[in-house]
Amino acid sequence: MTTPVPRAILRLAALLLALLALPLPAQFGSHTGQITLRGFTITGQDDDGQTWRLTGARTVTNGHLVTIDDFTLSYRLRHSGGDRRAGLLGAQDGAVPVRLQSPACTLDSLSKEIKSDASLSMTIGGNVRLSGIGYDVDILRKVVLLRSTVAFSMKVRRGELNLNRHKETHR
Amino acid sequence: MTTVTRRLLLLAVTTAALLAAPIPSVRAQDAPQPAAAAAADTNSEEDELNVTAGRMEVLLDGKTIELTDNVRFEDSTMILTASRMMIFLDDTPQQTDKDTKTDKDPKKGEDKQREKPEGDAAQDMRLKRIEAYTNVILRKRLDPTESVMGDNAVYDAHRDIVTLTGNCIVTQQGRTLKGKEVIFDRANSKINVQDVIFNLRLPKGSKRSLNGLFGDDKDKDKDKDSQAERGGKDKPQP
Repeated sequence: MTTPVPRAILRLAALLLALLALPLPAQFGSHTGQITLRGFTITGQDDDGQTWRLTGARTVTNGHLVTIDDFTLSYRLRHSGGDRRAGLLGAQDGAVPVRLQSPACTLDSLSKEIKSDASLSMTIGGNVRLSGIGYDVDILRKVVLLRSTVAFSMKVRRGELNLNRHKETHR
Repeated sequence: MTTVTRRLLLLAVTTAALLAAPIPSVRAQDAPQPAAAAAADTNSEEDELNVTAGRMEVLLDGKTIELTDNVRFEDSTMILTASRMMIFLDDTPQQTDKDTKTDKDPKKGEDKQREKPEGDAAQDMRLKRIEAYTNVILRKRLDPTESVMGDNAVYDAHRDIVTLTGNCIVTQQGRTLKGKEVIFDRANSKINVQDVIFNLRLPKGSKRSLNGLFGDDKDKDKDKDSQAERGGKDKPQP
């Protein structure tokens, strides 16, 4: 490339390619009324002032129905109260983090419900894990219904269930 | 090949060799650190309980989980099956007598062990109570031949006991007895039956004692001792 014209064309082509490679935040399908978002994160607060964060790989909005792929919903569970002490529970309002992960779901923005036939894995705090196939989430009531093949596992410290005492008796 | 090209090639080869060489600092990070090993030891003090079922409803605000359809609870001490189960969780940090004693405890080693969970307690849920309904069957992990059946059961995590109520049947090595209420003390692996209905069929002329039926080894030992004292002259009492 010795002449200046081809160099300019090459630069322009490279710039165009770079622009095309950039992920577009939203695509508007005028004929279907669909809005597609890729790689998004939404944060918000519920009526109780609890913060939540929703991340997803892709979402398609069609009217009041929102289809989300590879979503993660993080939420901090309001503390039961009574024993709330500054410093012990952390600075955040609500001590126990809740996380829901699923490969696909549909959110009904009118009824505030999430539905899916896909699998769901859920963690409450650092020691409780739940999973199942097919689920319904009532956002307002904060109820998660797992429809089939459900599993619950919880790690407990031995002292908590007096298992040290149990150990001693079997020596 | 020109000198410049050769130099460029040499530079490229050197860079590639440097990139391919293992970096000691990264390898050192991969190796288990003493602190990590200590954490692993702490984890070994953990027990895991697993529950499987056909359906589950989680009430996040109430910290309650309802399981239905072939519910099976399993941990290191017992296996419990039922038609329906409610798990009640608690997120309040544990403040027991142990914790209050810890501050006054002169043994520093024990203090360190108990200090650590306080930070985690804010993040972790604690098991409060489990209620099981309809066709409850409890089996001991250590002795699966020993089982208890009942209409309902409540597991109190704080006291570490399971109370079965309604049409309770205790089975032990093929023998059964009925009762209104059965308490399984998980820590001591003991089963206590309240208001026992005892049906026993002994063959005619049997010299078998009632004490021996439910594995009361102490009485057996006593009998042996008394026999030894008597020089084995007298026959054992039926």
